[in-house]
Amino acid sequence: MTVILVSSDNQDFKVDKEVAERSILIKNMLEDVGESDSPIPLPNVTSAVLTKVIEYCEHHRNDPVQVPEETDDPRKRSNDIEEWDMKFMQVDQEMLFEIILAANYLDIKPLLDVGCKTVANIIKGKTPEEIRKAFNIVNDFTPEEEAQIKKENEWAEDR
Amino acid sequence: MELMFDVDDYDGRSSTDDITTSVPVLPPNLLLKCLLYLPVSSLPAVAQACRRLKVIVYSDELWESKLQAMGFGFRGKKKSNYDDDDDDGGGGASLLDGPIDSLPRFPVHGANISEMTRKRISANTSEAIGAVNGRMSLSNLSEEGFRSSAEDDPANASSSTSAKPRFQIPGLPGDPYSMIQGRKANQGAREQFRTIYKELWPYYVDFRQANKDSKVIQEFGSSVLDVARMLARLLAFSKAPLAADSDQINENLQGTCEYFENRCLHLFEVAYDLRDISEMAKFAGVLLDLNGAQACIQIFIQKNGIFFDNNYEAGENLKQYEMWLSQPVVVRENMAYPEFTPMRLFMEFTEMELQKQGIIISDVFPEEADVLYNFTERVFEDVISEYCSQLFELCSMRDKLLYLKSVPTAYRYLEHLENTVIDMKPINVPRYRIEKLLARVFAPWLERYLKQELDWVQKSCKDQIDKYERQRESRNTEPKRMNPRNREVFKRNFLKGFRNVITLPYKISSSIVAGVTAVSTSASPSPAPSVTTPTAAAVAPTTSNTSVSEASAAPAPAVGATTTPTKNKRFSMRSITSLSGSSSSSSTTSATTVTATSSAPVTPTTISNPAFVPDRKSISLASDADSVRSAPGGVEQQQVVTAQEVQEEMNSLLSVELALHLIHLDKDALQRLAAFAGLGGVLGGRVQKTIELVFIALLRSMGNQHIKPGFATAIQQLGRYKPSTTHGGGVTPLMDFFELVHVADLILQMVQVFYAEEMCKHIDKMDFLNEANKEKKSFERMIDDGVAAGLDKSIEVMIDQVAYILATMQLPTDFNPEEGTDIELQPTNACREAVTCLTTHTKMLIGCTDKHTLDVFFQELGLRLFNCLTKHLRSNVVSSQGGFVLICDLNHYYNFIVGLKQPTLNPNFLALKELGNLFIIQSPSDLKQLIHDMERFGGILRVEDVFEFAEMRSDWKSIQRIVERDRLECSIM
Repeated sequence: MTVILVSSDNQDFKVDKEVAERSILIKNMLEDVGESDSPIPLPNVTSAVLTKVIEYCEHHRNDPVQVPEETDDPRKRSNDIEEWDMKFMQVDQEMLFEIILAANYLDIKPLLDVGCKTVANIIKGKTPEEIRKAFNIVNDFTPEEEAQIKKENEWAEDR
Repeated sequence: MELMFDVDDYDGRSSTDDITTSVPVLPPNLLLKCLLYLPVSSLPAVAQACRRLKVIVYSDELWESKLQAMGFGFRGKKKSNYDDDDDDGGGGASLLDGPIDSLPRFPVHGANISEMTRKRISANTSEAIGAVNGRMSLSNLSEEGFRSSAEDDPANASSSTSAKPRFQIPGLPGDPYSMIQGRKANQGAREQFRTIYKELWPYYVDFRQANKDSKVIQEFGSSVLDVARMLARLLAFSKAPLAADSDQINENLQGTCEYFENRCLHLFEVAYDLRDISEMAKFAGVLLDLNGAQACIQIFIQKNGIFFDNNYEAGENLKQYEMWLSQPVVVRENMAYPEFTPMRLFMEFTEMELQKQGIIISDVFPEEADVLYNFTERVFEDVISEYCSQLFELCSMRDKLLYLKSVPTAYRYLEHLENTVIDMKPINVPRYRIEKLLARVFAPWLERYLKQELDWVQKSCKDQIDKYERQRESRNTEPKRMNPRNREVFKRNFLKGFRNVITLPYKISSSIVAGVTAVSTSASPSPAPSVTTPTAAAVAPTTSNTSVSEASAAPAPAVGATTTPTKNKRFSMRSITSLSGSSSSSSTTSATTVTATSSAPVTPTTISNPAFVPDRKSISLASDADSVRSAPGGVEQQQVVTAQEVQEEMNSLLSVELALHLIHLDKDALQRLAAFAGLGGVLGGRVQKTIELVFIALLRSMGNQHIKPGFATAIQQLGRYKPSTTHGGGVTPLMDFFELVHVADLILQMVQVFYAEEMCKHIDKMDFLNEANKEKKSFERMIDDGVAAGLDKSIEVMIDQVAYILATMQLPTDFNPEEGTDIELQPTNACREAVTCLTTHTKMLIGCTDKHTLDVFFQELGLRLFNCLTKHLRSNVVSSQGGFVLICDLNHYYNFIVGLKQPTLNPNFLALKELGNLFIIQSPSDLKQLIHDMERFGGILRVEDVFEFAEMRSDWKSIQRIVERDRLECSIM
C-alpha cells in the first residue's frame, strides 16, 4: 500500500505506507483517517527536503521502533552516528537545518537526533569566532559583555 | 519561515541582524537539543558566540540534563535526591556524595536517612528544584531574597515558588523558550554543576593518563574509604559528557575502579576466611560506597558453607521411612509414624545458620544493603528448594500418602523458619518480603500437592467404597440390627464419641483412635459376650508387656474423660502401639479406654444383651494396619460395645463404619491442607478451593457411590416384597429400609459434625454460594429424597402386609362366634398381629428423619390403614356378641393411631370406633337412629357407608326391612 505526500510546493510523492509511517505524525494521521487514497499535504516541507526525508525513511524502513525513554537518554553522545547517516547528513547547512525542522515537524525522532548530533559535531571544539562563522551568526555582544561571559565560563573550559 | 523566531525578541530587544542570515534559525528547543550532545568543554565557546546561544547555554535545562546523567533526579520521583547533602555536609565537598543512582545511601557515611526522607517529603513538588536552585545561587543572587531562608528547606521552597508563577501558568503548554527564560533567573542547575565540576574535574582529567597512581589515590590513599567514595563520585560524574575525549578518560577511570574493587574484594575475602568481622565490615563499607557492593555481597553469600557443604540429604527421610516399614508389624505399631526427623534436623540446622549469619551480617553490612534478605533468599532458593524438591520427588515415588504428608510437614517447618527470620535480632527481614519469598519458592510444589491431595481423596474414597462393596457381597450372614430400645441412646453416644474424636488435634487423634481400636479388638475375642468390657479390662493388664512402665504414667489423665488424651501427648504417642488387631500390645490404652468405656451410659444395656456378640469380621477389619483406616475404629472405642453393633450391621446397605472411614480420610486430608491455611493471595485462594473440593469429594463419593445405590437397592427390595407370614418380627425389607434410614441419618449427622468442626474453620457457614455449602445441601437433599421415596414405597408394603395379615389371620368366627362360646374381651389375633407389625415398624422410624417427613408418612399411613380396615371389616359378619370383640379390635387400632400422635387421623378412627356400636344394638329402630346420627361419625362416614357396615350384622336379614324403610323414604324425599 502506498500513500501520497504533497510537499509545500505541490509536488506529489508516492511512498510505501511503511516508509511514510516512519513519521509518527503521518502514522497517527493515517490511523485517524483510516483507509483513504487522498493525498496528505505537508505544507511545512519543501519538495527538496521531503526528498531527503523520504530517502532517510526508505533506508531506515526496517528499523525497530524506538522506545521514547531510550531516546531521552541524557548520556547521549554526538559521535555515535551510523556511517550511512553520517554520509546522508553531508549536506549544506541550510538543508541540514531544514531536515532538522522537518524531522521535528514530522516527528521522526531518529532523524531529528542524527540532525542534532551533526550540528553538535560541527560546533564541537570550535572557538566562538569559528562557531559564528560556521553558522553565519552575527556577534551581538559588546566586547565587555563577551569578556564577562568568557570569565563566567572559564571553569568549564578544558584547560 | 514561521519557526524562525528570535530569542532576543523575548528580551524586548530588536536584533534584526539575525534575520539577515540565510540560514534558517532553529527554535530554542531544537538548539538546546543540539547543545545537549556537546561535551561541557565545548560550551563556553558556544556561549560567547551570540546572545541567543548564551541564553541556551545558561539555561537550567541543559545543566539539569547533565546533573541527571550524573544521577541527580530533576523530574519526577528523583527530584530532591541531592538537596540535603549541602545541608548536612555544609560544603561543596559532599555535594556529590549520595545520589548515585545505583547506590542507596548508607548511614555509615554520616548521611542521615530519616533526615533525607523528611526532606523528600517536604520538597516533593516541582518547586523543589527552585529550592535547590535558590540555595545554590545564594551567593550570586542575593537580590532574590533567599538569605534568611537559606538554611530552612520548606521556607526555601516557598520563596522560590514566588519567582516561578510568572512563567509557569498551570494548564498552558510550556513554551520552551519562556521556560528557559524563567529558569535563567535562578541558574541553579548550572551553578550546582559548576560547583561539582570544579571539585571533581581535576581528579577526573587526571585519568587522561592511564595510571593506577592517579591523583585520587595519591590524595586519598591514606583512607580506603575516601578513595572509594571519590571513585564512586567520579564514576557518577563521568556519566555526563564532559570533554571531547571523555570516552577515553572514562575507560581509564573504569579500569582503576575495577582494579580498586578487586583489591577490596580480595581483602574482604581474606578477612572472611580469617573471620575478621571488623575488617570485613571495613571493606564491605568501602565497596558499598564504590558501587553498592553487589559483588561483595555475592562473595559473602557464596562463601557460606551451607550452599556447598551441608550433609543433609533428603533421602534420609526415606531411609527412616523404610526402616520404619521394614520392622515387624508389632514393633512398627510401637513406634510413631516417622515425623521426617532428618528434615527437622535439616531445618534446625538452617535456622541456626541463618541466625548465626544474621549476627555477622548485622556487624558487617549496614541494614540498607539488604544482605540478610539476599542471604535468606539464596538459602530458600538454593538450599531449601533443592532439599524439598528432592524430598518430595523421592516421597512421591515411594508412597503417595508419604508424599502427601511430607509437603505440609515441610511447609510447617518453613513457616517456623520464616518466623525465626522475622523475629531475628539484631536485624531481621520484614514479614511481607519473606512471606512473598516463601510463597514464591513453595508455589510450584503447592500446586502439585493440591492436585495430588484431591486426587488421593477421590481415589481412596472410591477404593474404600469398592472394598466395602466387595466385602458385603462376599458375606451374607443375617444382618443384625440395633436394639430398638437403645437405638436413640446409641446414636447419641455414638455421635458424642465421634465429635470427641473429630475435635482432637491432628496427630493425637489418629493415634488415640488407633489405640482405642485395639481395645475393641482385644475385647472382641473374649469368649463371654455378656462381660465384654470387663474382660477387656482384665485382658489388658495381663497381656501388657512392653508398655507397662508407661501405664503408670499415662493412665491418670486419660481415664478421666474420653477427651483427656488430647492433653496428654505422650500418652497418645504411646497409644499408637495398640494400633490394631495385635491385641496383646494394647496394655496402657486398653486399660484406660476401657475405663472410659465402662463409664458410658450404654454399656449396661449392651452387656445385658447377649445378642451383641462381637463379630470376628470387625476385628479383621480393624486390624488393618493402615492408620487412616484404623482411625474410625477409634470412634468405636467411645462406646466399645455399641461400636461393635455398628460393625455387626455391616451387611446392611449403608455402613456407618464406611462413613467413618471416609470422613476420617477426608479429615486427614483437610488437616494436611490446614497447614497452608495461612497463605494469602492467589495461592491461599487455591488452597481454599482445594479444601472445599476435598470436602465435596467426600460428599460426592459417599452420596453417589454409597448412599444413593444403597437407597436404590432398598427401595427395589421393598418393591419386590410380597406379603407373607411373619411372626412377631417385621417385614425384612421394611426393617432393612428403616435401618437404612437410621444409618443414613447417622451418617448425615456425622457429616454435620464433621462439617461444623472441620469445615467451618475454612468456610463461611452462611455463604450459600459456597460450593461446599451447596454440595452439603444437595447431599442432605439426596438423603431426604431417598428417605421420602423409600417411605412412599414402605407405606404400600406395610399396608399390604397388614391387609395380608388381616386376610389370613382373621377367622370368620372372630366376630361371629358360635352361640355359647365364651368370648374374650380382647382384640383378635389378627388385629394384634397387624398392630404389632405396624408398631414395630413405626417405632423404628421415630427420630430417624426429620419430623415433617414423618408426619406426612404417618398421616398417609393412617389414612391408608383406615381404608384398608374399612374394606377388611366389610368382609366379615358380625354377631351382637362378636360386636364386643370388634369394639375391642377397633379400640386397639384407635390406640395405635393415637400413639402416632397425628391429631388429624383421630376423627377417622374415632368414627371407626363408633361403628362398633352398630353391632351391639338390639333394636332395629335404635339402630336406624344410630345410623342416621351423623354427628356420631363426625362426617367421616356417610349414611350409605354406615348402612354398608350395618349389613355386616349377622341378623341383618331380619332387621333390614325396618332399618331400611326409612332409608328408602329418606332417599325418596
